[in-house]
Amino acid sequence: MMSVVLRKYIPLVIVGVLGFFTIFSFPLDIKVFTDTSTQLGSWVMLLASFALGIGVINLFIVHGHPIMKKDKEKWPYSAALLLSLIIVFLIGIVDSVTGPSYKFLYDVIIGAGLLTLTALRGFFMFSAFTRAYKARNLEGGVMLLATLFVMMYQVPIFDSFLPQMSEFTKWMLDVPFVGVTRGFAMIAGIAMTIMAFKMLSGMDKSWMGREE
Amino acid sequence: MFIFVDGRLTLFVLMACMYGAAFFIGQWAKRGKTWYLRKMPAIDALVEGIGRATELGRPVHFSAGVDRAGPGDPDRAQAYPILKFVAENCAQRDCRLITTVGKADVYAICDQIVKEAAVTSGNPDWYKAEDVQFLGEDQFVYAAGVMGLLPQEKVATNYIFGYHRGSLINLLEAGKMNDCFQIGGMARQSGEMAFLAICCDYWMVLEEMIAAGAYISKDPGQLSTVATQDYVKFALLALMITGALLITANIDFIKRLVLL
Repeated sequence: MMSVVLRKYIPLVIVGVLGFFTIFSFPLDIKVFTDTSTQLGSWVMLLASFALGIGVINLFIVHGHPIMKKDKEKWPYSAALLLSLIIVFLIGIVDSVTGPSYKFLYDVIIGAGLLTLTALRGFFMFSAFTRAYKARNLEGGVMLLATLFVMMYQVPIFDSFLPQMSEFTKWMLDVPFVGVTRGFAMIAGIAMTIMAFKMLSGMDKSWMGREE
Repeated sequence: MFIFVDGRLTLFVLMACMYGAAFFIGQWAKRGKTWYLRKMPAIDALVEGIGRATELGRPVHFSAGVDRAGPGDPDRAQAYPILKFVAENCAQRDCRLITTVGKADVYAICDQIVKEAAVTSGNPDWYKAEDVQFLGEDQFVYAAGVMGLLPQEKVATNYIFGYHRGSLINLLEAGKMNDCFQIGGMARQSGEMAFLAICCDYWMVLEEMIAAGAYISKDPGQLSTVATQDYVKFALLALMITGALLITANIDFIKRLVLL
């Protein structure tokens, strides 16, 4: 009985009460709602920081296994990852995250790595587009044509030769594209509002994983 | 206006109406009303992907996104029932499932879902703690982890759900390069959605994602959520058309009402 109360009712009450304050702080100008909502925002950040500890434990579990089993293919990478984690952690503690050593590590290793992955997007996009943009059917043809228009719109020389095409593309981007995007946003907004209400009121308990 | 933030009175009334509709339609569902959900090939293909991986003797990868476990987040809320469904099917077939997450708070939730799926499927030994992996908080760090994992573990089926940002194309193209059968879905409107259409064998966006949980569980409560969304959409569409007609006739009543 106690387990059911702990696992089912207490989370529902917490989510319901806190959700009520958060949602109604948006349209209502009542101090207790706005203050509670701001405070809850800080709690979320705090809880997320605690969760990071769980993530680090998981990294040690996942990468500790290959090292302990001496898995030939994986252990050097796992060891490098855990060693990097420990080094960055220690430097962060000793030098603080704004210190020169930490900044150097970030700029030279982490920042460079992130930029490399960002740059890879260009190649991936190109390979994906060359695969996808084939006029196999009517929809594919329309998509190909629309893409051609948008690409040509970005190149100034086409604007000099064919100003009408440029105007048409601008209209296409400003009217149908914006219309569809707003439609998407509205659908998602309505869905989120209703789903949030059903979850907060306890009418939908699917987020709790299982029914008792 | 009194206790309301300026310009949000109508919003408050609309929210109250939506909540009222959700409550009454929920009660209607409890009394036995059911709604028809059209066939969703992407959800039906989830089992096909698991079957493919089982036949090849290779694992399935499930990405639960790179966003925090925010309340009312449709991507996350729908990724969980899909993960549960995939995990149960994998456990029944004894097919390895590697679940990766990009946020530590989501890791704890996904780990619990996979663990419970192993128990409910009658195969508790199938669960392995190291198969639910937290790959890093940054989206590109997460992407690098997945890009390394797909060839290393010889993944056969790649499921990409939850919210993804710019790194989505990296995950999908890595899957394509490794000949993975791919299914992806995103509930929020994003510029990255186009990549799902290009790189996935089956994909679902927006409403399909939001209806996914109901489609899988066939639970009347969740079906009523989808039905409420449709009724509210029809009502708002009627309001928009009326507003457009009235404003054309130079009557700005609805415009002023919305701005209250």
